[in-house]
Amino acid sequence: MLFFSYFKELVGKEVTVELKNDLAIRGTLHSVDQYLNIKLENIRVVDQDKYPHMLSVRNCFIRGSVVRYVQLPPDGVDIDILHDATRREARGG
Amino acid sequence: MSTGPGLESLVDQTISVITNDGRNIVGVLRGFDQATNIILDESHERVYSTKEGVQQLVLGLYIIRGDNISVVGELDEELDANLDLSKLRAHPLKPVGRWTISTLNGVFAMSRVFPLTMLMDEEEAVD
Repeated sequence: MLFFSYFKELVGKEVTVELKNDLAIRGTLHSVDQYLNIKLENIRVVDQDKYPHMLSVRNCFIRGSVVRYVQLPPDGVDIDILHDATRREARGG
Repeated sequence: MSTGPGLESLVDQTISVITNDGRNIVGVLRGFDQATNIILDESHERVYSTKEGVQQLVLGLYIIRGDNISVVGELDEELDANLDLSKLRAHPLKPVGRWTISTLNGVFAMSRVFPLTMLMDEEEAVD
């Protein structure tokens, strides 16, 4: 639940999602769900020449199970808030 | 709040699906469920190659199991019409790969494995 809540706070920010098939997609975080499925808008594939497979796609839904990394903007990360939330989750979650 | 993004907004739209084995299938989304199983109408597979243009294989009405889906993209018909698929050259997408644990000389090792047939499709090495 912690990361679901955390990603909800990041809606509207630019993120880069790296998938398990090495594809990396940059876009604006539109929404997230309990499975950490991610919807991105105005996407741009990171190495577009190598991966032209999504040239006609503007918005996409990424299945949570296939995500390797979600790269976040540094100013989108509040370490203190994350620490508190983690402690709370470990205690009662 | 907990149903989140869902594919509701994409029903009856043309979508581009990337599957876990690296295939790209384009079609009209007719239905879906919580497991991301989808029903795809008028679908065709786009096969990318470094040697020739994109090949389109007609499939028809398909159910794709959610287990096997990586990405569901909303296809922009305008952008797609501007693409000359016959000129596109690209390596096929990589499969997602699975983790396996094996022992070597009594030591446990975790490694990511791919179906061997997928890697041997092209003559050039896949980076």
